[in-house]
This record gives sequence, C-alpha cells and structure tokens, in this order.
Amino acid sequence: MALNRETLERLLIDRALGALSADVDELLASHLEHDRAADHEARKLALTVETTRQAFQQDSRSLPAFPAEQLRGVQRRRRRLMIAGGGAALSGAVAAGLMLGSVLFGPSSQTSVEQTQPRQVADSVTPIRVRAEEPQPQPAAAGFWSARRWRERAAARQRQETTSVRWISPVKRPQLEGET
Amino acid sequence: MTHIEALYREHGAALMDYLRRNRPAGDSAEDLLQETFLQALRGADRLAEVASPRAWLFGIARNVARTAMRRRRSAALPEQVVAPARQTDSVVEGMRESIDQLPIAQREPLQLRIAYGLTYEEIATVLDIPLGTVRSRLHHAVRRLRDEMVEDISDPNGTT
Repeated sequence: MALNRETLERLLIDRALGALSADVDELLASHLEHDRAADHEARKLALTVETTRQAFQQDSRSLPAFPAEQLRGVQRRRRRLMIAGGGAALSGAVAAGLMLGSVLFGPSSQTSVEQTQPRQVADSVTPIRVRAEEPQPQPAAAGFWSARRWRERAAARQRQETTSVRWISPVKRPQLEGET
Repeated sequence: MTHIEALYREHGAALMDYLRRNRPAGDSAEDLLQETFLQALRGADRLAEVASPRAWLFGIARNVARTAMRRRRSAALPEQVVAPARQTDSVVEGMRESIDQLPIAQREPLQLRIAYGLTYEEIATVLDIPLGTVRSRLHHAVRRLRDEMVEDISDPNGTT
C-alpha cells in the first residue's frame, strides 16, 4: 500500500489526536509495521500530543454543588413573568375587542353630530366633535303615540257612539241628548 | 431542571476548568459556570434538538467567557490558557510556552480536543466553523508543536 507523505502525515496526526476510526487505525498500524520512518514520525506525534495533554492537565479543584436554588428561583421568576405577560396580553385583547364592539355595534339612539366651528381665526380652530344631548323622555300627553292621547280619542269615540238623538216633532230639528 | 442537573454532574468539572482557563481577570469561574447553566436552563427546550449536549454547553460557556472578556474590554483570550505549572518537567514547561505562542484560532480547537476530548464535529459546533477548518487548524497546531518540542525520541535510523 503506497501512501503519499502528506496523506500519511494527516492520518498520523489524526491518529495521535485519537480521531481515527478503529478500522482505519488498524490499517495504519499494519502499514507502520513496514514503514519505520513513518512509525518514528507517529511516535513523535504521539509524544507531542501526550506532552500537550500534560500541559493542559485539568485543574482538579472540586466542582461546587449544582446551584439548584438560584436556578429554580430564576425559573420561577421567568414563569411568573410569562404568566403576567400572558394576562396583560389577554386583558389588552379584551379591551380592544370591547372598544371595537362599542364603535361598530354601539346603541343607535346615541347620535353624534360633527360640528365645525366657524373659522374665526385661520388654522387656529379645528373641528370639534360634539355629542348631542341624550334625548329626554317626553311627557306622555305631548307625544303623538302617547297613551293619554289614545285614551282621549277612545273616550271621544265612545261619547259619540253613546249620545242619543231625540226627535220629538217632524217640524223641529232633531236634538242631541243634553241639548236644550 | 433534572436534565440540566445531570449535564452539570457530567460536564460541570470540564466546563469549570475551561472557564477557569478562559475567563478574564476579575471574573470567577464559578460565576461564569453559573451563568452558563442559567443560559442552558433558558434554552433547555432546544436541548432535544442538539446533536451533542456537551458541544452545546461548551458553546454556551465559550460565549459567556467571551462576553465577560468584552465586558472587561479585552478582546483576546487570556495569555495563560494552559494550567499553571505543577511539575518542573522542562519538556512540559516548554510545551506550555509553545501552546501559548499558538494563534487563538489553533489554540482553541487544540484545547477543546486535547483537554476536554471533544470530537472534531463537536469542536466545529462550539466554534461555529466547518469541520474541514477544524481538522486543518488542529493539524497546523500539532505540526507546529511537534517542530518546537525538544526531540526526546532517538531516531532508530539516525535520520532525525
């Protein structure tokens, strides 16, 4: 098996770093048995990585306990914020819905009139929106459809129907009851 | 919470070591570790999607360390990323100096691979660079360290 020098070096470095798969490592090991220069290079690289590992030797100071309480506190605060945020969004949506509803489907008896003030001073007066006074309930007698009017008309009709005519003599005009 | 706690037990020591080496002066590794896990907890819903929780955590820790660096108005990683000397072995001492001389782009993947055992794919995730770039940076770093290291092995053929 002939390997070019560059490829072989790359494989040797990966091998020293422990990054070769088992089958490639096995193939390379069998190659090194017959290639003494490459084997020497492999040993140099292995020593380099081992010395680097020693230089990077981990600090063995003990790990502090897991900060569970602090993290739980943060998690609780976060959850509360999310709930508060959701509530605020819901309230906002309800308020917006109510406003929209009142604008679109508000009571028709409430009329509003756009009144524009006369322009006394140029550009100094802006149109103002004046809401008309709420129509006050009128006395029943004055209204066209009032019950009192209806009762009066009914009584008059009844009087008309119940008034009898007295015709005493053919030469005299007939008289209504109560007339003299 | 239990998932994050399990990750803390599994990777907490390595992350603490990483933050200890990569923190700016004035910040404690414990605080940065707590910030790392706080951010992990915030993004815990993404945990199911990540291929490697370890790479995900190292990525968060790296961002936390870099943010701390920026806060301290220091853009570069600290000079001393290797552990303080515990032995007087001159070869190891020389290696520490050589590692410190490496460009950050090579030092970071080397540290993640050798000190914490991350795979090339995980390193690519942490550093947000392509896999091929990870490989070439590691190869450059190892070649350079090899060239600078004191030769200890005698060449059996006498060709060194």
